[in-house]
Amino acid sequence: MPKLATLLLGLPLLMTACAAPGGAGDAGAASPSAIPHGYIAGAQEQPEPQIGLLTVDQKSGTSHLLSLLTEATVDTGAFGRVDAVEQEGRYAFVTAEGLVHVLDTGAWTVDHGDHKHYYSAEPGSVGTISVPGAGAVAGDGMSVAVFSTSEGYASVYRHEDLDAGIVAEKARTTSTPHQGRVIPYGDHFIVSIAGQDGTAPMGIEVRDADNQVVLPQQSCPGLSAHTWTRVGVVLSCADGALLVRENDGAFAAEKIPYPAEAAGLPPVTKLEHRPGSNELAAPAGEKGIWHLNVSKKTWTLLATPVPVVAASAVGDGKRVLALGVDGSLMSVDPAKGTLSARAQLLEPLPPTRDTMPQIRIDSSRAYLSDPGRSRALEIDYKADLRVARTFDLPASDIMLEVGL
Amino acid sequence: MKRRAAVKLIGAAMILGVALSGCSALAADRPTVVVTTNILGDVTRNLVGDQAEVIVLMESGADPHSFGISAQQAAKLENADLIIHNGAGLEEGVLHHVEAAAAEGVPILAAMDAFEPVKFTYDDDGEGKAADDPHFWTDPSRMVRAAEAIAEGIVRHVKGADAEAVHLNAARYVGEVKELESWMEDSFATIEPGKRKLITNHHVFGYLAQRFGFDVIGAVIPSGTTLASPSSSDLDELTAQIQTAGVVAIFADSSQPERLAKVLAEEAGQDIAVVPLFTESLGAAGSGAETYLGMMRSNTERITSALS
Repeated sequence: MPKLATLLLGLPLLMTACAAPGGAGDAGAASPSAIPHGYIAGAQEQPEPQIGLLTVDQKSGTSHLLSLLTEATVDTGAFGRVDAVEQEGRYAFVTAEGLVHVLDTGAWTVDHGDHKHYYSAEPGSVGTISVPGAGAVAGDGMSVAVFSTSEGYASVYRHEDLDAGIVAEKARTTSTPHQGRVIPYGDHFIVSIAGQDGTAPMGIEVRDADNQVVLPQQSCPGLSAHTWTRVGVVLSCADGALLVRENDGAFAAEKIPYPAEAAGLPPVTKLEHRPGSNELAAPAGEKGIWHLNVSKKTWTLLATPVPVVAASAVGDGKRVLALGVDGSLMSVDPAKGTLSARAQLLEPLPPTRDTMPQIRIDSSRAYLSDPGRSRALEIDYKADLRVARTFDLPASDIMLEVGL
Repeated sequence: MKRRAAVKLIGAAMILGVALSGCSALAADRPTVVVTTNILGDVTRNLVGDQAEVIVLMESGADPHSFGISAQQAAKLENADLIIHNGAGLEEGVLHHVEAAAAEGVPILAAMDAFEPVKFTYDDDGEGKAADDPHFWTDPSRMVRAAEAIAEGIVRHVKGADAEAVHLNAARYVGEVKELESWMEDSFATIEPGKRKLITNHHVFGYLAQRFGFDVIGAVIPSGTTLASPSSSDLDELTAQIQTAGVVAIFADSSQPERLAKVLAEEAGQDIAVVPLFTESLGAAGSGAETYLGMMRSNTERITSALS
């Protein structure tokens, strides 16, 4: 998670708390803004992360939440044909049939630097966001911005409101109509800027809460995705990665260009990793895997025996997991460039498939979805890719790990 | 990270405090002292006696499902004669209320201003940073300093409180905390010096370690998903820590302590006790840890018995 300016966000609610007639002991009327250390109204603090898998059937939009602690599954609603799902801390944002559905996953972690707090709550729908031509959904753990590709603005929502069960636009950040995105970053926003064709982004700028530009345009042609790391946010551009970070209130951007080996390879789209780590990975065309060490600002092309369809970095300096087109899961050492383990886990994956498996990683296990057989595999990546558990699910076209 | 941001934003919170002046409807008949945490609340009640009403924002055993500060509590904060908080960013969620009250002229006392804090380091972007460790209560000698400062704060700021009565209370209570301290020393002395090691996933025992000569060995306790289908590699780090330390107990919050002990025995061939401790909050009624003194005694007994 990024560095976050948390306190200021609580203040407007404090004022409403004074105006409200809320009685002591009434949870519904109590202000959620004033909470002693670690306590969150309506939530249960837990001794460990309440991790689970949110799985979605792409065609029908039916969704389910599997607890990885109890193995119980709950129905979390149906949304119609799903275009995208973006996870944002406690919430998942499901874009389907023109609406963005806000789903409370009921599981989340708050990082206090030297320690973490883990929470659970009842999962369920919070409401829907209606933004014309809803495109990229991006958040920083405190706010989330939904970009309107047709109108060229982003509607900004606060987690704090969502925590109170309210879906209300709190700010609007304006760009121009394009396939863009606005990424909240503390009380600032990274805003994409359209290129000449008016469709693809060509760069970004950083603006403050008053919409003033604090970091002028930085080149990022073909901006396609972003990923948070502990260093900052990493944008996937056609010519490399753009690292945007804040340090003591000052924003800076640094391009990490692709190395020479990238010639002839398509640019990466989404860089994946274990949340919180500073290593990222993505398929590298037919050649293998790209590994990006964000701390060292280095790209490494890791060759694999077969082309890969999905890749994600464990972030321990020792392992990148990748799924080959032959259905084998591989663990590659990014420092040595060697294959350290390989296990044949899925059927071969023809490139024409609608839904591709996804890899999600936490600090002890990885989860590999198998949409073809509606299941998910729990992988012990430190023990030669041993399958620890297998979960049969209603569907696993889209799979996210929640509670981290 | 959050803590640093919190400090930077205090100024903004103070400015906005002006907007709160509309909620001062509830004037208390008795002088009131508002305390944030239940640990400091218990200490303050011992010092105040019947000289003022002590309002603790986070009562022990508070059900997180229903916990939140009501409008009345927020107003009481604004009308308090004195607000006592821990300091070092412990109560992030109430800090802005505290600062807003300060902007309204309510005297504020941070317990941690009474002594030199222990630092801890953290690392959120590859550049190690140091911050003050807020969990001072695990060292009773620092609690003595805090209690003395709180007593002085009450005498100075709480109108109508009888200074002599507060000083008498303080002398008695400080005596009890000092007694606790020497009792803890005697208790821990029965543990071999080489075994004064706390393998733990708690982050609150830095002060206790400094005061009583323990090593705190930060451990990652295998999660529920790991315990569901473990392999020996899942436990390598923890079992290595246990073997290196040469102890037979870990002090950990685990949702499945029995399962963890069983897995440790199966996978590592070690019979290890998994001992829970009271950490950030007093225990519920009947737990033996419903007061600061009781909490410290419970933890001391558990540590001593597990390591002796």
